[in-house]
Amino acid sequence: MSAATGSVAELRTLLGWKDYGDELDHLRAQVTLLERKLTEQQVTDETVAEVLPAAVQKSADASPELGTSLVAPVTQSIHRSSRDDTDAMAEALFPVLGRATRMMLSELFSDGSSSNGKSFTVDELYLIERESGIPMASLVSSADKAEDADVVSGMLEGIRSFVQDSFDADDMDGMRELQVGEVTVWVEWGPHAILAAVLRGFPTQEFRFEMQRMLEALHTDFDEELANYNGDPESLGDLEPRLTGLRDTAPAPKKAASSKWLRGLLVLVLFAIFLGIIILAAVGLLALTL
Amino acid sequence: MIRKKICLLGAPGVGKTSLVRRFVSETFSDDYLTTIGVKIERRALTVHGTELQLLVWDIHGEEGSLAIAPSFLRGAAGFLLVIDGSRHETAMTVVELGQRLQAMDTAGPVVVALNKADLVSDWSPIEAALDKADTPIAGRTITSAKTGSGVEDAFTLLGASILAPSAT
Repeated sequence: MSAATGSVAELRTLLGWKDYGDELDHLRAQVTLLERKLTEQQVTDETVAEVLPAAVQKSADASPELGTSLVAPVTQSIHRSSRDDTDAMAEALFPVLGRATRMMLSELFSDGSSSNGKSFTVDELYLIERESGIPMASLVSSADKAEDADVVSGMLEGIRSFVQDSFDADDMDGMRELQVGEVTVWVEWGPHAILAAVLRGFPTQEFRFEMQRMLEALHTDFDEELANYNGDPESLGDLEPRLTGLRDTAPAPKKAASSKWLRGLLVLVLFAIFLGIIILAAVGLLALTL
Repeated sequence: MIRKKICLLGAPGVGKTSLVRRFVSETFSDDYLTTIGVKIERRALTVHGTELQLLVWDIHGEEGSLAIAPSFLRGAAGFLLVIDGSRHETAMTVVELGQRLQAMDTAGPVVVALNKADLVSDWSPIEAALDKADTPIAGRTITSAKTGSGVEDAFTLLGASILAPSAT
């Protein structure tokens, strides 16, 4: 150190000046690093990915400009995707479309789609793997029928296959209804599973909607399990409460008690009329006698 | 219990339905039964300690035709192809069916049942034909739906092939 430099340093100390040498060195190093990053184009995918979500959110909060500018490319992408892979798009929209369609239909038929006082019972419910016809879960009235679930599920799939192959029906449409005498079988189709209900009476459109809601919920909750089903029902957990809940949405059959009550009322009215006639006759007879 | 769908295929009259009847209910009728389309039966098995419910699709074989509705085969975990040992031409049907399954990219293993053992003493011509066939076969077994011999083994072999990791 020279005598001049040493005296300047001494003077600084005497005057209480702080030495910013280290901080300046640090800042110089930072500037150099930033310059190098910019020069070497170190703005990588990772650095963009780090700030992109927050940047998009801020932009959207500040003005609708970003959303407006994204409309065209997003629309093009959706068009392209739906052209390239219809099934993927249909599967992605499955839970949404069903709900939207039901809302529309409910509004259209809000006056006419009610049960109109009619009732029905849900005898059996089957959740069936779409590909193989293997039952995944079932709700039946007795143990004997539980054993038949395998065969019933398979035969439903067999009948569907027969109809589809015989009449060149579109695979996506599936078979939605079977009717034999007073028994009706309703079938709802999902991407990986189908839901079949054996019904008696006059099933309502609302119950059809309930079936659709349940199937959509199952596809949402067990998407991977249903897609990779290996024949083991335990992989889906206990679905009986859900099936029971669906069965219980059916309006209970009208009880015979109400008609008994009506019959009782009718007898009472007839008795009152009869009594009235007797009294009138008695009064008339008394008047004649007097 | 794990459930798996299997399909029985073969020329008409080879004894598919009789094999199924013998397998599922231990009863047998000599009356020839022509199935129409498909008939589904079930039977529980324990294979290497694993409980397995086999859902057996007995698929009708049309005379002189290999036409089988592809949708009947969809989702099948395995196939039992049946040959009538007393009719060598039914072995050719099985070879062609095996090739057809391969072309359809079905994933399940194939087991061949050499049926009507009660009528056949020499299996070598059929065995030789199968050896030459370019069809991957997980196993073959000699059966008689009439006596019941080998029937259980055939389905157990198919069940084991389905559960084996190599079968997938």
